[in-house]
Amino acid sequence: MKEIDARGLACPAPVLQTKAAIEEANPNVIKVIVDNEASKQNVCRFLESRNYETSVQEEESDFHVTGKREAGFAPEVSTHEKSTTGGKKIMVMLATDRMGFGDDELGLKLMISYIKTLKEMGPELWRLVFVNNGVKLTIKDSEVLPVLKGYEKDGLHIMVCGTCLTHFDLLDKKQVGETTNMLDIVTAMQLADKVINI
Amino acid sequence: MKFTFVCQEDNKIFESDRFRIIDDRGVLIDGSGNKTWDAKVELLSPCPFCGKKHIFDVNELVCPFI
Repeated sequence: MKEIDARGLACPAPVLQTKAAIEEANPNVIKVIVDNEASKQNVCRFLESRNYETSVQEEESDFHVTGKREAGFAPEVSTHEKSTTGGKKIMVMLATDRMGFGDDELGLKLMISYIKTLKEMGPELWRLVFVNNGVKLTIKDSEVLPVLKGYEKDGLHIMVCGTCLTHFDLLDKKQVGETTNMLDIVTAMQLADKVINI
Repeated sequence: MKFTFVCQEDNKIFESDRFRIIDDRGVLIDGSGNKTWDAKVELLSPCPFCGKKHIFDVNELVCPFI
């Protein structure tokens, strides 16, 4: 039986110690000793949320909370983990306002089509980042501005390179997205499951 | 079971059940006999406001129930 002495600790430490012990050893019986009513109630509620049956024994000013559950019970998988299983965070970085090389007119058409079609990624499209010439797609008179504004309204996080806007003297013409910096871009890359560079 | 956290960048409150205990150095007792748990909590999912996986001292966290 796993035993935790959490007397003298303020909430939520007793609950967190209980959580850590369960995740480490997945015990079928666990005893947690606390010395105040709030911690007693919170540890009980936490154990019950993990499918333990609880009982409390008072000994002087302490509460001995015991949680028991059937052998072989699987550790809890968080609801978030369940809901995102198979779901990816995709970051698309556009470093140009044209797709491919050869013919600029065709490249622009392709880029417009690409941005309009990005919605097919669904909720997996997590960040849309514009750098270098790509920032020109976020300014007034851009043909894809209504599409990008629609994406943003639907919750897509659009990031636009501030250095690039400044370089092209377009800082005050940007109409969509958050002006960002290289640290934010690198952090987003690190957090993303997949990065697509165009 | 979700705990409440405060984004260290935006100071905004959010809830998450995706975290783990790290740097557990055990319970410390000061000269007056007061106990504190020296450990940290690391988010396993990015903060919904800034995208970072914050690390909090356990003593910064608020009680999730009462």
